[in-house]
Parts: sequence; C-alpha cells; structure tokens
Amino acid sequence: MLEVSDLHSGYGRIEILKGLTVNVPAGKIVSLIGSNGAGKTTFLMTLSALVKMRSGTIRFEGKSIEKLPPDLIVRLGIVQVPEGRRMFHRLTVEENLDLGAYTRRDREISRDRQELLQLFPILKDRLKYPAGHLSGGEQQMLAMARALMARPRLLLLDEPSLGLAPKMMEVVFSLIRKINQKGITVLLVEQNAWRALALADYAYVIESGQIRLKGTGKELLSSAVVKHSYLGE
Amino acid sequence: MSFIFLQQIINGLTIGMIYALIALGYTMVYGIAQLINFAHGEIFMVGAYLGLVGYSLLKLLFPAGGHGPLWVAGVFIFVMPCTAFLGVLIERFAYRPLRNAPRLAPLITAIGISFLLQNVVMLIFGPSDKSFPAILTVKNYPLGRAAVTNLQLFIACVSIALMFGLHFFVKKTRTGKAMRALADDREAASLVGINTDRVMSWAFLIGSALAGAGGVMFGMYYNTINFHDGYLAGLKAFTAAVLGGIGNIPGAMFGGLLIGILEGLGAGYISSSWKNVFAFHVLILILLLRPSGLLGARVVKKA
Repeated sequence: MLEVSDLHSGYGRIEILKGLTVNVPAGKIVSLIGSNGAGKTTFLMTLSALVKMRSGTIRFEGKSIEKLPPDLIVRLGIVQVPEGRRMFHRLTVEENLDLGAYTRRDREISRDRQELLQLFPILKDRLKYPAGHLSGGEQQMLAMARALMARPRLLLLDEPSLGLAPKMMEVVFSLIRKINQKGITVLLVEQNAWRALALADYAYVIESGQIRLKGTGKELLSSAVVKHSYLGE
Repeated sequence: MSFIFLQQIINGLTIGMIYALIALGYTMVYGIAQLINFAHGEIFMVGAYLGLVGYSLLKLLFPAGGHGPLWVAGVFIFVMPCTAFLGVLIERFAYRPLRNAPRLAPLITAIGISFLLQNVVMLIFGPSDKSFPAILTVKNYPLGRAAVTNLQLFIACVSIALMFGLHFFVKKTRTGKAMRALADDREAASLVGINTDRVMSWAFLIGSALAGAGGVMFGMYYNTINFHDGYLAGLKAFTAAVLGGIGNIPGAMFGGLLIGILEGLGAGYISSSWKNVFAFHVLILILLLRPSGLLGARVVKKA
C-alpha cells in the first residue's frame, strides 16, 4: 500500500533520514521502533508532507505522492495522529471531531461520529468541553477519533502511548488492534518496543535515520539485537 | 448626568464601532498568522476612497439620484469586495512568500505596503482632504439635551450586524472552524487536511471587507477623507485589538468600543485637540500592566 524507498529528509541543513526504505502492506499493522532522535517523527512528518523530503520515492497505492501538499495527502487517506496529541485546545471535543472530517463532504459524517463515540465512549460526555480540559488519555482518544473521522486508509500513529498511565496504554493498544480489524492499515511509531512489536505484523528498527533491522513482529521480538537494545533484556 | 457626558458617550460609541471593525482585521490575522498587518489601517483608508469612487460610478449610471438607503447599499456593495480583494492580494504577494522568514521581515513588509498604499492614493486623489458625499440626509433625534443622528444609528446597526455575522461565521461555518483550528495549532490543522493558505486568504478577505465598510462609514461620518486617515485610525484600532487581547475576536470589538468612548469623553471633558492622545496612553498602560489584554487570558508559549 505504502512503498517508501531511499528516503532522505531533514530540517534545514540537518539530514535526519538517510535513505529509509519501508513497506506497509495493505490491511496490516507495521511498527517502527527506535530510540529518541532516530528519525521516527521526521519520517511520519515527511509522509504527511509537513517536512519536505530531499530525495527518494514515496508511493501510495502505486501513485507517487512526493509532491503533494499536506491537505491532499489527507484527502488521499493518509492521516496522522501526531506525537503529543496536538488537539485544538480551545475548540470543543465536538468541534475537534468535526474538523477531523474537514476533507469530507458526504452525508455519513454524523453517522461515523456516532460510531466512533461507541469506540471511544470516554468522549461522549465531553463533547461540549474544550479539548484542552481533557486528561492525557482522553486527549489521545480524541486525537485518534479525530483522525478516524477523516476515514483514513492508512493511519499513522506517532507515540500513542507516550505519557499515558499503564492502564490507559492498555486501552490504546487494544484500540489500535480494533481499528486495524476495521480494515484500516496502521503504521505505528513507538518507543515502547515490546508493545509495538507484539502488535505488529511487520516491524522495522530505525537507527540514526536508517533501517537497521526488519522482519515480522515475532522475529524482531526474539532478535538478539532488539532484545539487547530495545527490550532491555 | 450632564448632557455632555451622554453626548460624548454616543459620539464615542459611534467612532468606537468603526475602530472595532478595523480591530477585528488586526486580531483575526494575528490570531492565525502571528503577524501584525500594519497595512490594515491603509486598507480602511482605501475603503473610504473607494467609497468615493463607488459613489461617482453610481452617479454616472444614475445621474438623477444621489442619496438614500439604496445608494448607501450600492456603495457598500462596491467597496467591500474591492477591499477584500486588495487584502487577499496583499497576503498572496507580500506576506505569503515570507511565511517562513524571521518575524521581522513580514512586519517591515507590512510597513512598506502601508507606505505604498498611502502614496498611491495620494498620487491618484491628491494630498489634500477630499469631501465625502452626504449619501444619507442627516436627521437629529433628541435624547434629553443630547442628540443622536440617524447616521450614528446607521453606523451602530451596520457594525453590530457585521460583528454578529463574523461571530456566526467563525463559530459555525466550516471555514470559521478551520480558522480557529489554525489559530490553535497550524501544523495540526494541516494534518486534518486544512489548506492553510486558503484559510489565511479567508482571514485577509474578511478582515479587509470589514475595514472597507469601516472606511465608508468613516467618510460618511466625518464628511472629509485624507490619505493619512488610515494611519491614525489603524493605530487606534491596533490599540483596541491589544486592549481586548490580540487574537481575541470579542476582545477586539470590546476594545474598539472602549477606545471610542474614552476618546469621546476625553474630547468632551479635556480637549478635543488632545483627542488622539488618549488611545495611546491606553496602549502604553495596557502594555505595562496587562500585555495579554483585558480578555486575552492565555499567552502560553507552545514549545
């Protein structure tokens, strides 16, 4: 579904991604793990066209999308839940959800919203509250719900478990599985390596802007390098 | 309560409405782009001159008439789209190329555009005052020993209607929500698929249309216009926006009315030749005592 090859990208003079090659097959969960500063967020931001790529190719369903602006990327169905949730703090939960569907004009928006509120029941009682008043876990729910309102085909998740209590983390990871079961392809970026690998069909280990290892989630879970560097065993 | 007090409140509120209309443009653009568009006062001034042009064009088409509500409507319908277009043009060609430049660059550009507009108007219409046609026949309605004119009521009604319209637009429409989203977090706005350039154009379009309307009413109220007028009115409206809390839409309306009233009372009780001084005292005080403005509670810097 998504084929990235030899991607170079960065900010200003600093090159962060140094020839990244990643494949995301349709319907799967693909995890990308790596330490701080390895280039995970830069990778997702480059896919969303908020960071300009230097060279390489990005193909989505066979079409090259390197030159598209951020809003058209969303229209194609590649939607990101950014690191740190990035809610519209002064807008209400309901307005945040409405803005999630900004690219849509069809009549099923309110139906989708009802459905999502079933999936994220926490948000139901908070619709009229400013998003900034929600707790961290609730904001993560809202961030995911907002992205789903766009009817993504590929969901990019950047550190969804960051800063959450263990119980909430549990909820978030089980939601990711549920979302995937609805047929949405997921590209997950995580520092919580064990969780991310356990969930993934395929996984990549990224180190200083390059892919160090790849394999199925299970393979990487049992790989010595991963065990040593990322699982702390 | 002396009648001077009431009269000056009425006069102050009238001009305050006009300041508020201009202040909305400052505050909207700042909220979305963190840019002080110092050319905004000039758009207001161009609006006043375009009012003159629109009136003359109408006069060519309908030599018989010359005043009344239909003429007023005609002038507004001519001016507002013109200034809106001017605002969009300025954003597109002066500010957008500087989107990622250091913040001083667009500020200096704004001042440059402001000089440009002043001088273009001066070249076309000359440096001296121009008289603005009396499109409405002024009637006085006594209120005790004070009085209110139909023109003042008209300015109040139009301004309030425009402000309500803006409020509705920002609160309810898709583009309005996108504007607020952009003011909150521009990157996140891109990530939900908002075309941020287009929303920015909308902010300039609406702000400039409001300033144009303000310009026409300014001309109708004072009967003469000058290419300098935008400078002072713009600074006062900027003060109003800061007073209300820059980036805050109700704050700009409130700030405009407050500056107007203050100016009216200052002119009535101290001296009308000192009229322009009061607004800037307020600016100094507010910057010293409450830089976030009266209604601007939040100045949290995002990391």
